[in-house]
Formats: sequence, structure tokens, C-alpha cells
Amino acid sequence: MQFDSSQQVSATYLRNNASEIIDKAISEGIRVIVRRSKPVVIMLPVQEYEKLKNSASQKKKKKFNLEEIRKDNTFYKYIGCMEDNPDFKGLTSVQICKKWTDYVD
Amino acid sequence: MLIDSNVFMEIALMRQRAKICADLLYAIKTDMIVEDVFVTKFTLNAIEAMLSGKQKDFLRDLLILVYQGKIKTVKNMSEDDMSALAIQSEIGLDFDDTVQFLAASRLGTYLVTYDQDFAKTSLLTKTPEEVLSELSKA
Repeated sequence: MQFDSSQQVSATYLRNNASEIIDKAISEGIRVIVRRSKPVVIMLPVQEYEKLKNSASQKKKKKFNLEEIRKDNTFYKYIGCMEDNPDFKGLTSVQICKKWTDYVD
Repeated sequence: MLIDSNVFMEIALMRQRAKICADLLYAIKTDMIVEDVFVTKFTLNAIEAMLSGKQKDFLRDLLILVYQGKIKTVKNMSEDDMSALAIQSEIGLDFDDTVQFLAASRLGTYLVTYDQDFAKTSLLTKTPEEVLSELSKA
């Protein structure tokens, strides 16, 4: 990831000039904190963070479609993968999970 | 949502609601669920222990969801375990359920479970059927 050099601030400079860096982040946008020549932390205004967070969740959101899920569901192949375990016969998943330590040794 | 261990085991044991639980996991895998999805480390340890041997492919696919951040793990803090011991008789749950109760309460979320014992508490619970039904209507 590339950052503009004007955005970069060394960790040492930040330690001694925190107030100035915070003001600049608020007025000019992100600051990249650099330690040993490597960018390690990004400081950005809360509004920018909220925008990023919202755009990430929008990107993540796919329309829920049960038919689509049931067409390609890769978890179906695991249905019953433990069915033949004699310890679990006749018990519900809730009962087994409540006593799981009895079955794992 | 915080997912209880019985949801995962329903699939492995081919109990009557296995398919709907598998649908919930696949909805998470394919990013059809926007809200944060959690499991406790406690649940993950139980699943890891139970899904050993032949079921390791199922375990691997679950862990991939965790590594991808699609399911977030909640570490049980030692204070939670202490609190669970202290309040379990008060709220009428066993220790394991009390750990789930505290984790969901701390996260401010609901528990996805088939365990009816939580009905005697104030914790909001939903079954996978209810979660998927709500998503279908949204």
C-alpha cells in the first residue's frame, strides 16, 4: 500500500506532537504513523471511519436468497458426518453439547 | 448473533434441523448475513473436540469462516468464568450455558440456539429457522 509522504508521521514525532497531528488528521484527513520506515497505524477522522465502515458493510451485503443457498450449499455434504457415533445415538444436539466433555476422550 | 454449539452439531449428527443449520452457515459463508456473527472460544473448543477424526473437513470449513472473519470468536474472559460460577444458580442455567448467556449479554446480541433452557432467562434467543425467516422477509 502506497501513502503520500505528506500523510506520513513518525511514531517519535507523534509522541511529541500528538495534538498537532490530531488537528491535521481532522482538517486534512488520514495520517499514517510510521515506525522503522514502515507504515504501522492509520489515524483518521471518525466521520471518515464511519464512511469506510458503511461502505464495507454495503459491499458485504448480498441479497438473501434461500433458493440460491440451497442450490450450492457446500455444508450439505457434512450432514450426518457423525451420525454413526454410538455415543450420540438417541440424543439431541442440545443434550450432546451440554455434556460434550463426556464424549471426547 | 452469537451461535450456540448445538447449531453446528445438528448438522454433524443429521438431526431434524440439519439442513436449515447448514443453510445458516452457507448464508454466512456467502456474505448474505450483514450483522456480526460470533461464536465463543468455548463453543469453538467444544466443536473442535467433537469434530475430530473423520469430521475434520467440516471442522476445516468452519475454521475457514473464522479465519476469514465471517465468524468472530469471543474469548471467554476469566472474569466471565468467575461470573458464570457466581450467577449460574441464580439464573438457573448450567455453567456452559451461563458462559454463553454472559457472552451474548456482553456483546449486546442474541443467541442462535435450540436450547430451551434459555427461555427462563431474559436473553433473546432465536432458532436458525427464525433467523433465516427474518432474512427472507427483509
